[in-house]
Amino acid sequence: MDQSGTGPARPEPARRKAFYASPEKAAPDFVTGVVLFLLSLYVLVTSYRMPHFAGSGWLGSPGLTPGLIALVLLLLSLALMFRARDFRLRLGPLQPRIEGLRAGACFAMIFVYILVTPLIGYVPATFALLFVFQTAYARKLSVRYVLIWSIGLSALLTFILWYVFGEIFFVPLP
Amino acid sequence: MLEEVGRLLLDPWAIFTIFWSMTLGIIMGAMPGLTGPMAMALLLGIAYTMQTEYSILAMMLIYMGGVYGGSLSAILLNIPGAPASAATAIDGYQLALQGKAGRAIALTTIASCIGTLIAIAFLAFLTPWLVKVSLLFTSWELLLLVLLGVMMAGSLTGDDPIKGWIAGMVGLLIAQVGLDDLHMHPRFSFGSHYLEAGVGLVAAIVGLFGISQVVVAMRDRDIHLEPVTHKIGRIMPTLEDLKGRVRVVLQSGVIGSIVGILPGLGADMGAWISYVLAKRTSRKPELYGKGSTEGVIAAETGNNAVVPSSLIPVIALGLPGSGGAAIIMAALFVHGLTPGPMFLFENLDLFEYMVIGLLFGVVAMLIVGLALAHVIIHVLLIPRENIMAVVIAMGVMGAYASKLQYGDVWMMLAFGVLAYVMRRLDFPLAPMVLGIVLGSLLDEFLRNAMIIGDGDLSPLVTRPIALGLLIVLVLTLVGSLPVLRRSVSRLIAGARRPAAQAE
Repeated sequence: MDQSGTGPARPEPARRKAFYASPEKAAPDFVTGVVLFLLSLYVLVTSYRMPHFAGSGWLGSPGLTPGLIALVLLLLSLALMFRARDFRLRLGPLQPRIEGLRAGACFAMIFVYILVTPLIGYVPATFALLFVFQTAYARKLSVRYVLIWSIGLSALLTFILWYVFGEIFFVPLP
Repeated sequence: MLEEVGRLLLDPWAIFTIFWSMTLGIIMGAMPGLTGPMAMALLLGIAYTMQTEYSILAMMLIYMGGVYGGSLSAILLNIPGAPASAATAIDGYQLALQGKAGRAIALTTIASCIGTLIAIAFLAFLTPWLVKVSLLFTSWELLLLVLLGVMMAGSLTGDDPIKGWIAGMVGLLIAQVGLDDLHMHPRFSFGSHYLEAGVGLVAAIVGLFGISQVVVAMRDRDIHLEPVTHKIGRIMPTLEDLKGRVRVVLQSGVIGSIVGILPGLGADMGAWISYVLAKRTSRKPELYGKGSTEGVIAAETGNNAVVPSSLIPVIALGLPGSGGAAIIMAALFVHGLTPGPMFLFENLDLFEYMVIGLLFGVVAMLIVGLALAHVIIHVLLIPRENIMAVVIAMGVMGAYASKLQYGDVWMMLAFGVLAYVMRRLDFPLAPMVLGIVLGSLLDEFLRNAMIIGDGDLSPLVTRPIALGLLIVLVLTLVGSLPVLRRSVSRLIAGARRPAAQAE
């Protein structure tokens, strides 16, 4: 598969097939490998610098376990980078896909919800989240849908959440 | 044991818990985009507000119902509600196309019940025996078991063992954040008092299974769900369907039970192994894939048997083998209980309650499963946007309620983002959850072993159980990677060649 999108398709080397189910993941894998390598290196150094306490020495050091885990992670990140070493970057204009936008919007709504809940309270924030969420992702948007379904259903679901968890189960609401 | 039966029967709140949790599990498992572990994660946040028995009972039955519920959408929509139902979809959907949806649902329900019963027998009889064995374990054996659990989960839960192991290691690393148990020294807390308390287990699990699942479900444009039929038909299997199925039911039940005990395999593997073996040993293998009732029975018996048996290592060893089992273990932690070799000695009543609760759960599955058969099609078609926002609201509530710290809600979001990125990059989540749950135990066992033995590593090879576990661990690692397998084969061949030449 030609990953640059410019040249003719070239057959995948047989060696790659043994490693990969999807060679197009090579570039993200390489970047992930680099990030994990740096992370494990940081953990390794920090663990090494942790104090050794009298009596147990380095055997009981708080850095022993994280250090060993980081060492294994370091080796695994090297393996991840090694097998993705001949990745090719896909160059071209960045085109946000609708799926990415939907996912981003979902995270943004959760972020705002978490942000405003302590400010305005759980019940109003939840009503707002339910309303915006159902409206934003509605398959067919109409005034009737918004008025009846989005507002009505959001109010009903908010009430159920508040009543069942807050009043019956005595769950402390944020 | 009889006392527990009476206790459950005479407790209306327990009966209510059994039915609502089973119904919730079935619906969550059946609806594409929602999962049983997601429901368990949401419940985990409010688990401490419930009595221990009810909370654990609800968790187990949601897990059970979630695995079973996946078969309903597999039959009616050809979309497995849970990965464990993929094998059921092959023949279940074909049966639905042939106008036998009701029969298929009835068969999956009966098969699921029998598979669960077989595994409950394993749970009741094998756990005490395993506890006896586990009393021989020292820190070295327990350390190796933790590593084995995480690495096997890494090897088997995804397509790529390296990514699975990385996920497990990152999970173990996350669990090291906070004050260490031995010296109360802060690790990776960056001066934050919040992080010194460690990463909130509930927040992490809700983020990993709840929030990321919401985003994954909403990411894809609305998939048009087209049920094969709105008429389910007669929900009663014929004698022909049940005749001669004892062998396949017993075989799949035992396979599922064994798969459940082994770490990392999970319900989907239980279903596939049972299905493939049933096909190989069938008198009519040509019917498989074309609406074989035997295929449906094998897959459903196999995947449901995994649920109770996956509790065996949790209770006997304190080692969960799957994401669902890890959440149940987390629920035990929330109630101040420590699963492991001492659990049965200290909480025998609770163990008996769990076993009896599962038996009652089987009855509930039969009743609720068959009762829902006619209406489930309407539930499956509820738009996702109406449900997912509720999941977010419940996730926030649960993450906050677990420790009454709003920081945990942000932590939940961080784990949601992490899990979403991991899913996009094909990193499995289950090993990470196991790592987070088992990380503190790993730290405890490793440092205990090192301090007691003064750094002596020889018990790893001088203690027979430790040596056996070490060999299994090495074989797991070597067997998972084609490149490592080839290297070992080459080494062996290289070692043989000079010997052959010398001869």
